[in-house]
Amino acid sequence: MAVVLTTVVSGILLGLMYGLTGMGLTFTMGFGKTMNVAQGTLIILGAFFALTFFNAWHLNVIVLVILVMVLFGVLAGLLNLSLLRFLRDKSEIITLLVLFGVAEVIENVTSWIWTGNLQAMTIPTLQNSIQWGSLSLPKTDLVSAAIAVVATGVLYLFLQYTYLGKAIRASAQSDLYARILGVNTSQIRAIIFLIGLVLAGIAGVTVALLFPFAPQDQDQWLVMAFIVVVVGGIDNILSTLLAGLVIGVAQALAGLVVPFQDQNLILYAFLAIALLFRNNQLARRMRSL
Amino acid sequence: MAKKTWLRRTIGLLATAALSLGVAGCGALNSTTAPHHQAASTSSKAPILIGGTLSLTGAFADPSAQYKMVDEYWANQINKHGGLLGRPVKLIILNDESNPSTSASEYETLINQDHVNLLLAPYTTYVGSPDVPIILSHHMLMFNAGFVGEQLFDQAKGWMVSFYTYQDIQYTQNFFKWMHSLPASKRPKTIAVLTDQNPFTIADLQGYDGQGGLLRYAKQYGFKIVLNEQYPAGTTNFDSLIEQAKLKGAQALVALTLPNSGFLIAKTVYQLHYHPMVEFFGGSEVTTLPNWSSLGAAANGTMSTTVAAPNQHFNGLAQIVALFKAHGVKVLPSYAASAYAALQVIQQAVTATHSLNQEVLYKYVHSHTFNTAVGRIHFAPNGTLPNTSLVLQYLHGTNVVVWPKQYATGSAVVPMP
Repeated sequence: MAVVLTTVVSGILLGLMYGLTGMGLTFTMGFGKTMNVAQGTLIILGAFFALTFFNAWHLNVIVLVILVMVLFGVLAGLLNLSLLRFLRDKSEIITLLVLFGVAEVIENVTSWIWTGNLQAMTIPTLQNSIQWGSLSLPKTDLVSAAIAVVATGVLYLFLQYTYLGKAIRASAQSDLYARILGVNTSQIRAIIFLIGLVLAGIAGVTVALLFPFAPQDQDQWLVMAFIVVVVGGIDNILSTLLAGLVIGVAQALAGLVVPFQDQNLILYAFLAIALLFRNNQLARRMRSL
Repeated sequence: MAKKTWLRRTIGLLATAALSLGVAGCGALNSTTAPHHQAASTSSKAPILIGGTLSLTGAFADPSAQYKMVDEYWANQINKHGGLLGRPVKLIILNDESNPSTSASEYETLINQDHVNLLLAPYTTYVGSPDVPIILSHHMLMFNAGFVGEQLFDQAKGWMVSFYTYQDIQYTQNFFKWMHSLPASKRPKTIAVLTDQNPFTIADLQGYDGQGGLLRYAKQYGFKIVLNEQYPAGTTNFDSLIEQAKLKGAQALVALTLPNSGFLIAKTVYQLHYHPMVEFFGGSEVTTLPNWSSLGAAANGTMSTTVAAPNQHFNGLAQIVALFKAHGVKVLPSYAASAYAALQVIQQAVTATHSLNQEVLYKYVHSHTFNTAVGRIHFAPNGTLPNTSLVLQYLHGTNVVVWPKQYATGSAVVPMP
């Protein structure tokens, strides 16, 4: 029983973090109509930023998140000014290729600065667990899950209740009507890209908290983000978080039900089922990208 | 419309030109770092060409850079002292980009176009496996300090010689010998085994051709396996496996891993308050990795293996330790001594035979003993070495040699702290 309980709880905590890794991609795809294939490298870059700040100043996690958000905001601004604003009227394939190039450049720069060696960020105060009966709750898992929930909550409130959030949703529904209503859609696209990048940066902090990482690990996180997006859909950030949670729990429980070595079958089964049911919705969305 | 078409064509042409220049640029870069040569001259002053690939970019770039550092150090030393057979030594190290197919095509280039005299192996079994049929078909001897694999050595039929002092199937052998040597009160009796689903680590577990493998060693030395699970590459959650190991009362945890999962397993063991008496990592020698210390308390007491330790005073080992220290590397990577030993054997064999003929070198290498940085070595018929691995325990930031006794630099702490 203790094994099942631990497995479910760790699946929930890890699943929330998975949801966060897909959040940036959901945002740029669902609202910005841009498939950001640099998501994986950006997440790893966020992890390296967090590691560097922590090693230099031993900052707490909240400060790390804020610093990484600021840096990713600056990075988004630079990318927007230097590349993306020239791509507004280009086909989606051009944008995709440019972002692929951006991913390659970031990965190489990351390798050059931090080397290709595996890194781990260990915050001594978060290294152990909280014991609750027979349940061990690793502090890093709790903190990263809390970051995911807070980030999603803030984003949800922002989208629902601020003018800018409403403008983003309006622009996602119809660029033309949003413009007619006076929304500066070019600016909105830049903001969507910025938010997407900032979310990737925050996800990077949680990766650093939970896992060892190296520049070449970006594929793993890009794939995870895609799975979350496909399962959760690209319309709603809450469903993205929920998708991450479901994947986390299913993956964890799979290790108990089927041989552990086959647990990824469950993950890909989810993907297949989601594709079956969401085929029409995704196809419609992809056509509009 | 015509203007637009013209513009598109012009852009297309420019793009093609840029791409061509890029390709040419890559070629130029390649030739800068590793000049291609015409057929190696056999004149008395022509350099002896030693070729190989290393992952100068990509996932294995950092260890590969250290291999290159050792290669260049050796070549400089040799050339300072008049070269080999009175000829200078020239290294041709091509960049395989951490990619097996790139490595394979570059070995064809090294053999057929560059006409190298001697071959060094690339780093990692993943990158190097496809090179084995190539060297075999050309009957070129490969001096392999880059990867292991008993099956690959069998496949190479002696045309590949190893400078790792243990193969994949032997990774846990000396660890079990060490456990067996513990007093009964301190000796774990039950073991949980977690294995990465990778051909290399599966061979660590199961052995090959009725030899080696953890399952066989455990049985041989009387340890009971209470949990034996494999996990897929990229596993991000080990909680349920660690909880199962706890539940089954495994007194020792053995993880046959690659580095990523090794880090994560060590961290999970610590976080879930699992206190095995012994926590051993085979497959990847994680405790000698540059950032193992970043795991903090989770790394303390963990165990692994290595090829050679400075206190063994093997031929040239002190120089390699000094070389790495001079480059700011505090912990000698397990492959460092192997990389140097390969070059030492090249030097000793070529000097003794006065020949670069592959058949002559093959016969000499397989029939003589060499004094190297990994000890006095004599190759088995398939090119491997007897297992002389050292068992390490990582204690308070330092790797302590705990086995074999004659090279021990300290006592193992069991149960682990």
